Amino acid sequence: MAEQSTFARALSHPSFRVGLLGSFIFILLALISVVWTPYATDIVDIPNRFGSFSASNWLGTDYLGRDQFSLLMVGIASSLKVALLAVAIGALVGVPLGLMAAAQRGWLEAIILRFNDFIFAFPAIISAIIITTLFGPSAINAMVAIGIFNIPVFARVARGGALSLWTLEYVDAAKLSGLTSAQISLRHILPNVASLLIVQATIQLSLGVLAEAGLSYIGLGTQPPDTSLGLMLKEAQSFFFGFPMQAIIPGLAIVLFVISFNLLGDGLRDTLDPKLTRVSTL
Amino acid sequence: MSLVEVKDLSISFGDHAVVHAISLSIDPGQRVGVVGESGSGKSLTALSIIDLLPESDKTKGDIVRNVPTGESLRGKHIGMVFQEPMTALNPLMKVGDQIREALELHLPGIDFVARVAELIEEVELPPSVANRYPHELSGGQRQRIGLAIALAGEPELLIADEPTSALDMITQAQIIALIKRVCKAHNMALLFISHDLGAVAALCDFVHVLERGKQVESGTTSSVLKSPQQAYTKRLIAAAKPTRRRLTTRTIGPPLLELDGISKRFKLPGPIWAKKSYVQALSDISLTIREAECVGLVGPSGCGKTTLSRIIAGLQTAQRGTIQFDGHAYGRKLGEMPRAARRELSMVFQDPFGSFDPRLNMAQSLYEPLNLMPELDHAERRERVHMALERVGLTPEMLKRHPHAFSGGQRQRLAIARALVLRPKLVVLDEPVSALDVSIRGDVLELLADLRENFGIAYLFVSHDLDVVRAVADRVLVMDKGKIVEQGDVDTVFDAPQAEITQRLLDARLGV
Repeated sequence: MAEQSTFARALSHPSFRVGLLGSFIFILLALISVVWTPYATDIVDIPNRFGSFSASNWLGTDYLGRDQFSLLMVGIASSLKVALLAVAIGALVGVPLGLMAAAQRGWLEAIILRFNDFIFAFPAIISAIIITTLFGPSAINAMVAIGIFNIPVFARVARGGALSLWTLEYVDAAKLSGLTSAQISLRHILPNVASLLIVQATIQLSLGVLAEAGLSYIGLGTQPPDTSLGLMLKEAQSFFFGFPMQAIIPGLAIVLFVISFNLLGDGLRDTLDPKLTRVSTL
Repeated sequence: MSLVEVKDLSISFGDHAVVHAISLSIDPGQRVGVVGESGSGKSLTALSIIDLLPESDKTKGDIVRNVPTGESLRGKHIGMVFQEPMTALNPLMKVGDQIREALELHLPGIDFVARVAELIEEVELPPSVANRYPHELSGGQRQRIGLAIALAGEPELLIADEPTSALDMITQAQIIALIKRVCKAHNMALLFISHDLGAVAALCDFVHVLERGKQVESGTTSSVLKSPQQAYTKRLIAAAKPTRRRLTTRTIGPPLLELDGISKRFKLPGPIWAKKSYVQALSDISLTIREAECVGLVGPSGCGKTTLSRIIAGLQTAQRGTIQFDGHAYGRKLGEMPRAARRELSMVFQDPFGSFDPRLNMAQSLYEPLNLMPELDHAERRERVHMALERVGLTPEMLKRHPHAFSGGQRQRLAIARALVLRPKLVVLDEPVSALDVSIRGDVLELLADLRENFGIAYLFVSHDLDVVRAVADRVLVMDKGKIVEQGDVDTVFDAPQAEITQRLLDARLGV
């Protein structure tokens, strides 16, 4: 069989293709918004408020007369930023914990697992509310709150993958070569669980976008004058019966955003984890 | 009139042909063996007879099955026993019910309870197993249940695909005897697929030898074994009887490794409030390995030989006892294995596919042991790795490749090269050839013998294959239930065994 790169194999997966295209568009919009938006998002233009779709304002204007498309671009960027950093917090803390638990076993593992259970015991949104009410509502605190939730998720995935690798003969060979547990974890375990972690990261990213939208919607995330998809929804809800498009547009953006990342994650998982896809041929 | 006739069967996946024009026929009551190495197409040939080929294939040729039209082929006319008895049984169903399920399908309207009991008796199991779940049975018992299910439909042909390769030697011999008895009693034909020439010789009257999808030789078992015509068959037969190699220029030196009173027990998992229960894996093991000596370690599965070899290699620690190795003493009371001792010892593992990290190239894997010798500079490291490769007959260009680019035999050579990089005094060989195809086994054994001759390395050779041990080892230790029950010169022990387990292991041997 001809060796194919993982990426080429993933591309032949239809849901991966759709997910990749969708995520790419969202990320591109977010990146462009950093340097350019069709209109400035901090200029109020009351005479033009609640504008409908037009050539100058593609998606109309909001209750302050700001261009909806520009707001959407900035909103996507801030939602993505929160979700990305939350994933980073979760992975940077959770993965080492999971690897340590698998390498040491014994009491260290027990402590890490109980710590995971402790975080899991609280519904995510409740703890996020606790954190943001303690430290004040802001995008940063929302990020930290979501990030803490990602820690046990990454720790579990890393530990689960690592445990099965620790029984393999090449790990024994590395022990015989005098490598310490930390060296083995970095050299042999981490690269071999990386694919599991990447898949988990894309899924947590989409959950992060959703969580950020939820927190902003109840006023505990991004604060005005900044904007995010959840905040746009919140601001639009007062006008929902008069101007439903105000809420439908950011709502639809959240749905498409989450679906794109989920499809990307599914496609990656199917490609990277041969146990799930490769139907045994014999 | 033959029961099944296969004419010029070819199977290919895409452009890749796996089976080329194979013909075979099975008469009623005849026992036919198909021997070949992994990838020789033997399983596909069997699956095509029972019409279980994967859908993505292209098949050419004729298969004539002498079965009344309209009747179900599988179960009723052809029964099958699979390689892995654990995955062939439903883990959530009592085994008695699984036999009953097969009966309900093929023979409705009989007394199921009585018939299940009969079938269980037929495969020589106690009646109580009917109420057990598969995980409560041993591998051999599960394979017997698999056979009972295959027998439920009273088929005229039984296909057995490597039914014994997941079992230990003693169980293997019992299962083979059982299959033979059952086939005779029911005048049932058998298609027996195996990589093991010994098993085929013990069971079949007729044999087909396959090599890479081609039928290289066919004939009655005795004629093929006595006067093989093809080079490939000759190689297979020669490899099944490994030739004996002894040291010629070198003599066995002073003691290198001495174990004194090594014991190890494992705690069984259970609730914390319950009384702790333990398994005594090793009790009071004492042994000596001398310089340049090859010591064989044999025993039935679960006897503790893996634990012992891992303790010697330093992968596990013992709870009691001391180890003297190359001037270093360590153990429970004396502390951990010193780093200086580690560099004099290395290990070759059983599975050539699991012993290399798939993400690292061979250079990264082969340089890894030199972590124990930080004093070496770059040129010295390079020289050591290249020399180790040269000794196992490979070239340094291969270092850039990843493990998947090598065959099983090459990987085992690379594993030996990795063990040689440190230039150790003792190498622990844990079943180094049992995962390899028979035809490359000989090469690897030859290589190990050469290395011992040239560099005076001592081996601890752990194996379940007594013929291999007899060919390579000077002395043999026989283990049973965590104890060494017999030891001595290989010829003395194997010719006049004292311990009961040695006798049983020798009886279970399937010679060619």
